[in-house]
Amino acid sequence: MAAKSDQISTFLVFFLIIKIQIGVGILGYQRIIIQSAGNDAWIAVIISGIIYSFGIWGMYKVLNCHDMDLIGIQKRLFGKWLGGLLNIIWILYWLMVGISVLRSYLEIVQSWVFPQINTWLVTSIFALLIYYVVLGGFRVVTGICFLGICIPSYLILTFYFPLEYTHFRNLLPIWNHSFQDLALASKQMSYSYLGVSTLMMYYPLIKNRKSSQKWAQLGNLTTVLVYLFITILTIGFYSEGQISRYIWATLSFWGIVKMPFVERFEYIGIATWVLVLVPSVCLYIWVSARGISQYFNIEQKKIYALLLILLVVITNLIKARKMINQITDYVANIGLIMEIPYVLFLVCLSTVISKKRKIKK
Amino acid sequence: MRILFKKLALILLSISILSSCMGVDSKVLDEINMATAIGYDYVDETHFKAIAVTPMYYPDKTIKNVTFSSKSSLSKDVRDEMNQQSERPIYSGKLEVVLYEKKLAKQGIFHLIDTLLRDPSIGTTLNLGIVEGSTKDVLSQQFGNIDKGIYLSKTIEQNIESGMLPKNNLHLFLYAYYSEGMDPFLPIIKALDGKVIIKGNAMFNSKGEYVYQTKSRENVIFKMLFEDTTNKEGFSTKIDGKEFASVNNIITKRSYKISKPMTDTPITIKLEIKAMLREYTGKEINPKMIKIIEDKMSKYVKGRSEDLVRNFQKLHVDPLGVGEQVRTRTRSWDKKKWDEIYTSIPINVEAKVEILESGVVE
Repeated sequence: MAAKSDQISTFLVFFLIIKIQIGVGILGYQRIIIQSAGNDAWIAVIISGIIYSFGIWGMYKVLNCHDMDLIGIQKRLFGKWLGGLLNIIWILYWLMVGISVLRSYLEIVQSWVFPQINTWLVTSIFALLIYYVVLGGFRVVTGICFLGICIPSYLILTFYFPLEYTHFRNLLPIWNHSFQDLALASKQMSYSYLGVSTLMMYYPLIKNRKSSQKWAQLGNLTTVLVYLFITILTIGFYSEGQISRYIWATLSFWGIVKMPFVERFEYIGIATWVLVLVPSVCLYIWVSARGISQYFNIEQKKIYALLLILLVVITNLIKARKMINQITDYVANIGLIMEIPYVLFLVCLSTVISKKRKIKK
Repeated sequence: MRILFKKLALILLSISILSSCMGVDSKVLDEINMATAIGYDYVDETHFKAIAVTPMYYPDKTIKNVTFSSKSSLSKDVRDEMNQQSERPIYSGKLEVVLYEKKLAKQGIFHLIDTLLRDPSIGTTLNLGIVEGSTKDVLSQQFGNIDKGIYLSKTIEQNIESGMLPKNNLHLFLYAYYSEGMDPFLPIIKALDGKVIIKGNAMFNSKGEYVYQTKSRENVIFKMLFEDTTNKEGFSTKIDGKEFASVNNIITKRSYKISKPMTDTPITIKLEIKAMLREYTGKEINPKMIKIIEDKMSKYVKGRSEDLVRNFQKLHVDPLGVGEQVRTRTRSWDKKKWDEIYTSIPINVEAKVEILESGVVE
């Protein structure tokens, strides 16, 4: 069990959940869901938010039942071999999400600010920074996640500028898409909420972990509200045909910002986004390192260097938008299966097993 | 000592990394040319001539506008060719206005706007405009000691805020262009002895081709029909015989009444106009007279508006976004069907003018 000095306060779960859910995806998720569900896309945002709320409930059910992290739970439930395989899949998944987040951000930098930027150097610098953070342990990672929400939160104010051009009439008529469309959009929206599974790794490090669920749920709710706000703004600001042309609709909002002292606000926004992005990559790296160290019994600090080299190399091997999209889709699809249906399956399995044990006693 | 060494090594490392090999080229303001206005002129069906204006700031506080021009069929090719004429590289980060010649606009300008959309250094508050005559006339003249692009964009913005132009910029143009029930429009400007003059609005059809230019009297009407506004400019009507009345400081509210969308049942646009009497050539103003003026004006606005809307229907353009109003009121929206019935739906305008003040005299 973790030492008291390594644990984090219960309410910080709130920030960890928001941090992992709001990453690079928020800059351009609208196009995809609006293509499927049009002006009803905001309903899909709520539906998938509720699904994730269930997911979090399931995760807490499993975690509270076993009172250990996912690696331990899978080992206990599925034994050495199957459990081990599942553990490796999870660890690879977290690592790949971390990589795709960093790569997506670099793509934004390349297409908006510096087209000729040397990605090897930039990723190396990011890797150094991440290395420095994760070496400090989980409390430092949590701290940076907290700051990664507080500092960039001023960006919410910039959505005042597009408000002037918003046609809220576009939301009407409500619910003129079929259930299939909404289901598809909800599924696509779910990609934006991915990452909550990291909770299952840092769970043992939360002080009053059994009662921390309300903070996690509150975090999820906040994320839903932020996405909802941006989705409604997007539906009003762009016409449907227009949105299908913008890859980063949220970034394109900033094209309308006009201030006397800054000509193109996107550059400030993209620079600020480093603060949004680095903490989530840190958390993913920390979680995968934690998984490896728990599973293979290696000291956690020794793994970081390897993981970060992997991060730098793979990030640079992924080139061009097509490949980035393919990989993100692939990872997101795996994540979607693992974070919701698989977790609910774990819930069923562990309740059945714990009941059987009670009967045996 | 070891820590100090490590720190020093880190600082040296970061300096070397940040300075040179990042692949980031710096753009120092004094070493580049910032194009503030670009104009496109018609050459033949596949080619156009582009002209870019960059301001040069001299130590004695004079500003000279330097123009570059080049002929091509791709906008970015044009930039390369202009760069060959310039002593410093040309960038479009401070672009304020893009103008198109009317003749070019007749063929559709959307393929030329695509480059503005794709380039992240161009903001969507950019002003677009159509020029009567060639854009060269507008862009190569020196209008006082001011940067050309800023001069033109201020002229357009001033007319949007207080004049007869409805709100417009690159974003709104794209919004209307991509929207299923709305067509875009742009302001028309013309060079006029050392100044520019705003002539009206150019209407585009759904393919993005210029089809119609509003006449000067239609501009205020169009603005009132297009959006809820507070407008400093007004309109005047003949009351009877030689008596004229004119109002300004108009506050308009516009609402649509669509009882059965997507059918042939008439659509009603309701205009509520609150205004101040600015000028009256008759004798005396009393409540009875004001009532007469209000009635006359309501009739005037109604007549003009309906003419304008009919005209739009005849030309099959919908800059007012009647289609959008229908689309958001129906579940059976079908773009093709709407396109078919749009021209034949009767669209009525109900106008109600209310005079709130009659100036400082009675």
